[in-house]
Amino acid sequence: MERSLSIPARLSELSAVREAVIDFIGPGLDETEKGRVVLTIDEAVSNVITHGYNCDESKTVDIGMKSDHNSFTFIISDTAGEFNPLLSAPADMGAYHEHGHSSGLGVDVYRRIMKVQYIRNAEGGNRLILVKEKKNENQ
Amino acid sequence: MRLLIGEAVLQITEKISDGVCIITLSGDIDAHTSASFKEAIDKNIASGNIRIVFDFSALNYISSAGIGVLNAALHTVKGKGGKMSIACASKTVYDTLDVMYFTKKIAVKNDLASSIKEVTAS
Repeated sequence: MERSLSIPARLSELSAVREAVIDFIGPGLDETEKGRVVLTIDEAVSNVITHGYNCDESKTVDIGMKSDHNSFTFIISDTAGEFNPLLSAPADMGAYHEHGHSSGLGVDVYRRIMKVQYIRNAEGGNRLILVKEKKNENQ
Repeated sequence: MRLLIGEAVLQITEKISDGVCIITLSGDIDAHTSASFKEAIDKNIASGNIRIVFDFSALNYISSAGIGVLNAALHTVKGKGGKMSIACASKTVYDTLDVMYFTKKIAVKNDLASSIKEVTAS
């Protein structure tokens, strides 16, 4: 099964993205795992809008969703400047809490929750591929 | 305050009860609505309300943006000798707090009374 949506780079669109992900996953994951996937996609799209596009509403974020027997795959595409989240250092949680930081956890979270692959498009733009494996009922 | 239909909705209500500021959230705290959340907390801290309970019983979702607001507020409140606690987080919201290690930093209680007790204890 496949589905896709394109949104303007506007943070108010995040709610619609989450609803689309929830709807696409359906009963395919338990509530906790579904919540974590929704969080991951939300964090990744938020980063594109905020940091990739500087909230430029004329820009677009494309979200592709695929489901097969083994996994859910989400592909987040943009035309922003190069940003590979896999090159970001892990968040320093000690410093985060000690200094009362208010940002910087998003990338770390989704790298821990899903398998992440990054592709820089030859024609420009970034493609983030996030995969969540389904639990086999026989396991 | 309430944001437009179609966007994430976040309703925030506040009350002071026996020296405790209870902030009730309804809806979603994400990168879009977190500024309103911050505004409500900062206003209360500026007014001297440093014993704060967040009632999450009607909160559907929180992202790192919301947890960032809480983390910054906790740092400020602790610096002023205050306390914060979260009450009635749903399973999903609690899991998000836990994934970001925030459950190790703030008391998350199953009911409002326990959270109030937590922030008023010496």
